[in-house]
Amino acid sequence: MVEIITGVTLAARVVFFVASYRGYKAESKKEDDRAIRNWIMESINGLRNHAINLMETGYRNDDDNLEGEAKVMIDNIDLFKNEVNLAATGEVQSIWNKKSSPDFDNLIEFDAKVIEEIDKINKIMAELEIEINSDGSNKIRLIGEAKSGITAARNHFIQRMQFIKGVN
Amino acid sequence: MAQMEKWREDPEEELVKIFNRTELSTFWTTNIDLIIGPGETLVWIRDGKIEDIVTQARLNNVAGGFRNWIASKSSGGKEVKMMIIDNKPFEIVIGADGHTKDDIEQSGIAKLTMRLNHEQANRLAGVLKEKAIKVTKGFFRKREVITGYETKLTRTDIEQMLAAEARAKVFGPVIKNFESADFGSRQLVGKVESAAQIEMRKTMELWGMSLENIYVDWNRNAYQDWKAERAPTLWEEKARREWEVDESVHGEKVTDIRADAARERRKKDSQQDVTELSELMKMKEQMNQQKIERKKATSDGDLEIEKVKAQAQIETAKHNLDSYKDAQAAESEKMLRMMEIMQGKKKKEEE
Repeated sequence: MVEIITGVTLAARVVFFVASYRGYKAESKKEDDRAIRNWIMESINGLRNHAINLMETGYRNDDDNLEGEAKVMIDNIDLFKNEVNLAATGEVQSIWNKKSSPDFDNLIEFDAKVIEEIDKINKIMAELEIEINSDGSNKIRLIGEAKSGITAARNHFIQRMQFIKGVN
Repeated sequence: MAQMEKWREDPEEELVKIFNRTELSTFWTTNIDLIIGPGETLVWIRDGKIEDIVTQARLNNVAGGFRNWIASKSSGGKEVKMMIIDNKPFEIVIGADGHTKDDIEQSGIAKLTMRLNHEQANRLAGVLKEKAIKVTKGFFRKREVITGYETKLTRTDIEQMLAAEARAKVFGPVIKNFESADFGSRQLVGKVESAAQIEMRKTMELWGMSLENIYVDWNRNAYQDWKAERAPTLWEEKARREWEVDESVHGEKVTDIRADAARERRKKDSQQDVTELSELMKMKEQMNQQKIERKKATSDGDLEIEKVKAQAQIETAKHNLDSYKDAQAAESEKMLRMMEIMQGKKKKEEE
């Protein structure tokens, strides 16, 4: 009973962002995986847009530091995107055939972690853009939080990949 | 037995390719397998709508089999297209040119690392729709008729799509902001990258691509040519100066060594002199001591002699005194006698 409630809670955390997500129910495993990866790719594109906006502000105002920080973010986002692109779906098929509920719960948990972290970075970067345009005092803190958030999200995704491989 | 197909003939050049499934299935080949490798994505488009995105998989029977071939011949079958996208990073080369701040012509070769975003497959399909295949038809009245659309997006196509815009919006303005002597600087590298990301962003996003990296291999500009031509004489002059400096340093070192040696020699000599002098001083002191002692001895002897002499003189004086006393006593006695004689004579006279 406890397991079901946990599973539902985890899936609900993902459904909040990906409406079509069904928590890897028997008939929707591939669709769920595809939906998650598409959401991640599209969100990463959004983060990249934020980073390019920051770079543009730095470029137009001759702020080399901001330009450099934005460039580092873009590089990390590109590497993250590359990992999502190259993550195997073919190998995932073997997990789809397994019926182990805890495995899927773990996978849902990884999905929730990655999605929530990306959402958090998105909010930080939006705040950072406003802060920079209004010359606020929290710029440095927000830049640091955004950079570490990108790395954290990337690490969660790598853990997800490793988990999928490990289950095979 | 399924036939294994590669989706492109020239992997270096072809980046996107669209297939109509009906093209794949013929009477003779209806059973085709396809492998979608790492970094490749297959997008199924059914009746103009993206239906599925597949990565890293072996697709069995993509042509749909003999039944599908039969269906394609009738009007009832659905239109299914598959678009295969190579979404690994790829490099394109664009010419970069412009005039520097000091009005010197500058050119170079820009290398852009790009990626096609498979999640924006509909935009990539749109790029191919832009590339209509036109054929001139008509005998008396010539007219261009679109007979179809390109099914391939190649690296060269992308180069041509971006070259003019990159020259006008990125390279020209950036080159204009720098002096001819600045080419090759780290700051310029950063500015080119930022300008490309910012100015090309709209086009890239519209076409479902992203710019991952850019750098420019700048040709030598006139200033650098001049510098290179002048450089040998400059180097010669520099080398001569350096040689002179080295020589003087060497000369100074030699002089120092010589001076040190001379100083050392002098030091040794002076030490020897000091030793000898101290020896001499000792000897002299000894001689003086001896002399003093000798003098002392002599003076002691003289003193003794003087003492003896003085004693002798004293003795003589004493003797003389005694003699004087005796003489005086004799004299006085004599005088007394004379007085007594005189007195006797007077008495006699008186008498």
